[in-house]
Amino acid sequence: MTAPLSAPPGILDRMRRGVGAPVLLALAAAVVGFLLVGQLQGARPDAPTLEAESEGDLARILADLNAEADALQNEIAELKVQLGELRRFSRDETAAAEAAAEQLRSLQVLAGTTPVTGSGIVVTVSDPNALLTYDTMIDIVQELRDAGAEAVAVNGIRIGVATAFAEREGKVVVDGQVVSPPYRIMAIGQPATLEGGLKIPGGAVDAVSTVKGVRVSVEKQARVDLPALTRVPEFDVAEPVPPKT
Amino acid sequence: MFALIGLIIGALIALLLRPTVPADMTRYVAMGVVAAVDASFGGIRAYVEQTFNDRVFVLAFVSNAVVAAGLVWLGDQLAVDLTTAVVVVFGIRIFQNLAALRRRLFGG
Repeated sequence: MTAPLSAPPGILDRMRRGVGAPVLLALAAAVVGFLLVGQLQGARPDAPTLEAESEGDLARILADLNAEADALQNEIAELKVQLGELRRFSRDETAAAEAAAEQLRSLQVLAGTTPVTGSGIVVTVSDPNALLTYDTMIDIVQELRDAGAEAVAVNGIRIGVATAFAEREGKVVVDGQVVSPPYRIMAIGQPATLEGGLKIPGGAVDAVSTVKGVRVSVEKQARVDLPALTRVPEFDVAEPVPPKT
Repeated sequence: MFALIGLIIGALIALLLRPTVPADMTRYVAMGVVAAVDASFGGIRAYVEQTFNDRVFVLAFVSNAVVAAGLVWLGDQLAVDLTTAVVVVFGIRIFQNLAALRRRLFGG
């Protein structure tokens, strides 16, 4: 209970009387309680487990984690490359499939295995005396093909790659089927070009028109429907040679 | 009695305010708590022995906590774990104060 000489006694007395020991002790206890609870509530997630490790173990753990992170990074990079490759493949395959479908369409039209429709011309050859022979037909079809006909039919018989014209008992035979006049030759292609090709001076139409009684009329049509081949050609002997890469 | 009431009040305030101690400060705060507990017991003992001096008590309370935390911090800087030293010293003092209180109150 010794008052320091430096402090004025009056203030100290008042302080001593105003703030008693119980109050101070209670205050101190309050601070302790506050800090204790704060400390207990201070979330310490996984720090203790790491703090418990020795320096060497920590270094090992760190190295492990680094290695794992590197491995995962590598995996990400690899998967990205793979993803890119797969995307490229799928794009290529889509393009290849489209090209194949396109080629299939062209070949079907060319081979005559599917019915086709489009703009074209209809050539009607009336031959009341039945003087025309099968080679006239060949001439006309050849003329049409030369003019860019994509598909041709004679009297409803589609002319395919393996179609043959022949003659039997003075009648024209197409693929074994007899056709008789008047002949209706339908061709799909650019109508104007086809007509121009047929009517070229000295061409098939000119030649045919000189035959007695034969009349040729050519009509351009916006829509010509051709049937498919009745018999799909079969290839038993010919084998495709794989393209050299 | 008053100390107990103060302890409960402080705990309640902390529960209400929910102070969060930064993770790397918990060690120092823990040492400060130990020092404060020691000072509190010393204060109670002095009160019971009729030698309580509020200036001494406040000074001891603050300086004990600060020095304890500072010592642990210094130990961390020197890579020496001084936590044990602080805990041992204050632990002994807490038990001594308790023993003195017991003797005084129950006549040991």
